[in-house]
Amino acid sequence: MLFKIAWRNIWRNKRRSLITLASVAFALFFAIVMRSMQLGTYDKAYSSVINATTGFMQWQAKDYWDKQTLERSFIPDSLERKKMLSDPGLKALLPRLESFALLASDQSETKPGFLKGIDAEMESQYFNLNEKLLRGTLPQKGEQGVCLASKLAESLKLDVGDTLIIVGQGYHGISANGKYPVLGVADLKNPVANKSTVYLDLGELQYLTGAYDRVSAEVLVPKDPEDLEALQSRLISDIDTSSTTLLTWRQMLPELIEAMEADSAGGLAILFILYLVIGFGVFGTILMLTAERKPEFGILLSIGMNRGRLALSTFLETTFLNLLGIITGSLLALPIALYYHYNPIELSGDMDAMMEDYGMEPLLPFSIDPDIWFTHGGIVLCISVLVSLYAIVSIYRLNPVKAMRR
Amino acid sequence: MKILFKIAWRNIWRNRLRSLVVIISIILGIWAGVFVSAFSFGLNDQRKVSMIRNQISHLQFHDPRWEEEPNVNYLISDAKAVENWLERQKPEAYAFRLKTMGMAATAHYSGGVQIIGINPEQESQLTGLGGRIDSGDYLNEKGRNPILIGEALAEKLEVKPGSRVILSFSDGAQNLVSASFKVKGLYHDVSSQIEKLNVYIRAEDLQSLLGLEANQYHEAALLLKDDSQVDSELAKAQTAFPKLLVESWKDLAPELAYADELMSQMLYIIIGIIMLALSFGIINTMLMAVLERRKELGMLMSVGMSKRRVFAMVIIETLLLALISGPLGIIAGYLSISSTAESGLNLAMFSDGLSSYGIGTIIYPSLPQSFYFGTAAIVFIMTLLAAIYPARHALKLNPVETMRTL
Repeated sequence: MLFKIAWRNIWRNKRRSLITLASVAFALFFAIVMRSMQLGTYDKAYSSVINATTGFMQWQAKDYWDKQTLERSFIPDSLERKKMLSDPGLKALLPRLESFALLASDQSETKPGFLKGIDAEMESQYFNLNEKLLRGTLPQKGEQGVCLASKLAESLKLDVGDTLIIVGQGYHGISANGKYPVLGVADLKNPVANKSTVYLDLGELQYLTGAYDRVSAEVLVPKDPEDLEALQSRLISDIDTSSTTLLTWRQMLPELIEAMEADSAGGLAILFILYLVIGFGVFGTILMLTAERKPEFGILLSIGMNRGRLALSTFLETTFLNLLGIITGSLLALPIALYYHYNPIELSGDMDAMMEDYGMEPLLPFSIDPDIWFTHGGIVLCISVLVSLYAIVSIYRLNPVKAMRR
Repeated sequence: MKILFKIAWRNIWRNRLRSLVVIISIILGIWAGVFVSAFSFGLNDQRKVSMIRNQISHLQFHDPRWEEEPNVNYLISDAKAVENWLERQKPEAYAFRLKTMGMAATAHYSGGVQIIGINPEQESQLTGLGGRIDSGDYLNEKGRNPILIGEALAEKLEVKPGSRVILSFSDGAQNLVSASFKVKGLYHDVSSQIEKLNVYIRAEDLQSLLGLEANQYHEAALLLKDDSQVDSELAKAQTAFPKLLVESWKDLAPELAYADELMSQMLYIIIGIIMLALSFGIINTMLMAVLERRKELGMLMSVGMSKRRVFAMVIIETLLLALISGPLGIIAGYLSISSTAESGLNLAMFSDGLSSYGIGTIIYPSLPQSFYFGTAAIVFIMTLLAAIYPARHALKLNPVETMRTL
């Protein structure tokens, strides 16, 4: 009964209800589309960096992350390795060795770059490294040769079949110089990595730098990337924590996360203003609604309607109205988010350069995380409930006799 | 006309609470919108100014081939003539530099760096490098092979003033050169990337290591007294030195110029969206105002008030709402901007993220004056548009019908 009355009351003033509904729908639509774009872009940036650099979690020597040098590499204990791998939440451990060197070719001058010793088979299996190859192959186990990141290959003017000269410093300061055929060129989908990365077979880089059996890190591949902290706290008991540690990407890349948070805060500030303005709009409607129905409320009360029921029916009315707006806004935003999730906006020209400046790929995929819908739908609903309190308060304060006098 | 204004004015205050809700929501919306805009504008402007002042200057001169690939042998032809010309422009400052990529190494760490050969006096005037020395001293004539390095890099290399660093790079004949440098001082920069990348040595030291002669440089940079001269000075420099590549900061950092352009559009989009959200409230309020005055409006029309005047009356009433609140919102925005412009807003919570973008932690909100007028114009136009629907509704009233129930 109360529901019916509330529902019918909404349509007594059709125009006003529709405008109010439209304003709520507009605010939510805008909020969801904007957040979907922002959060989608952050996810993309995170996954690009995770994929191209750190992975989700790493097992490292304790002081390695502060200063990434060969001196701070470590020899992973095979027993601890086994213990970790027996955890059902862990899919694999990928050993990596990283070192800095000067790179040269007979075509151009020297460029600084990062040598990454990898297990090509496992990197392909878990990080799809083989799919990033533009030409040629990756250095396989025991193979002498390098795979260059595309921008680096371009600036060194090298391609498959040419020779790369490496001049660097090995473990304990020994010189690490070598000459390698270029086996492949890969597009790493990350502007920073693309300008500096050279892949070698792990064993070959260990030999070149004299860091036998040593690795910079073992990259942990989790079954469920969402639940890293739980995995971390389980696995930390398997390792010797006096000399090594486990770090998640959030711990390794705080700058990236802060930069994204700063950007996100800007977006939320605009949404806050929008919600404030829409909140006032809804309040205006409720104000009019209670004012024009005062005589009616007075009659209802004097013929014996309980104040609580009257308040409830008015509350239901405004909440229904806002819910309709929320549903409309959410549904309108859905196709847009879905479309751009599967067909990300591709930036070009100056915008492209700006994204690269931020270390991101010039693609803007939208997020379709249902959390966005629930969070912002929830916020709008809370605001609407809050302003509806005005109607309830004024009904409780109503003096039936005075109200009917008009 | 005057009487219409009077009626409209009085009408606004007939339902005081309702009008106040609209007025307050417009004030708050515009105030917040203006302030958020000033914040983003200030942030962007600070990044631009610090990039120009600390890094790229207004104009740069290079060999035309430098843009494609920085090579040790691509020198500014006839640097003396360039210097004479720069002197004649009476600039704020100018400087000549040498630049090459190389590797910096200590026993603890080695990493890629950009080695910049400078004339200490000139450079300090241009980029204020001398004033950004935190420990140790600025470069001078004294000592053999002094070097300045960034604090972030010093931490990695584990050096302090007095320590030694080995620089390796290739010379003009593609031979690998290594030389030992003594750390003279540590500099800081708002951008942590720059601190890690750039090391400064004396131009004459780099010239002799590269096998160049005195007065041979890769780059000349010019800082003008006035930002607005950039385009005209660029044209002058290009005609004076047809054999050199002369670029302004807009060419050198297109992402900065683009962000600048994007920013002014963004500001208006923010205000536009807020006004759109506000206009729902305005339409609703005015529509209700018209509907509850049906009889009265019908009466006015039947006693001979022309439809045009009725239309104008509703429009004026709506505009008056905006004319009261718009200026108040803008003034509130202006006051809050000028009260924070001096001291700035401290964003220490995002400091690492901001510094990786080259922004300090204190943001000084600022807004070009034209933006206030732009905002006022948007408010006026959007309110006018919002007024049309209720005003048209008033026109459609049939005087006889409205008065039937009287």
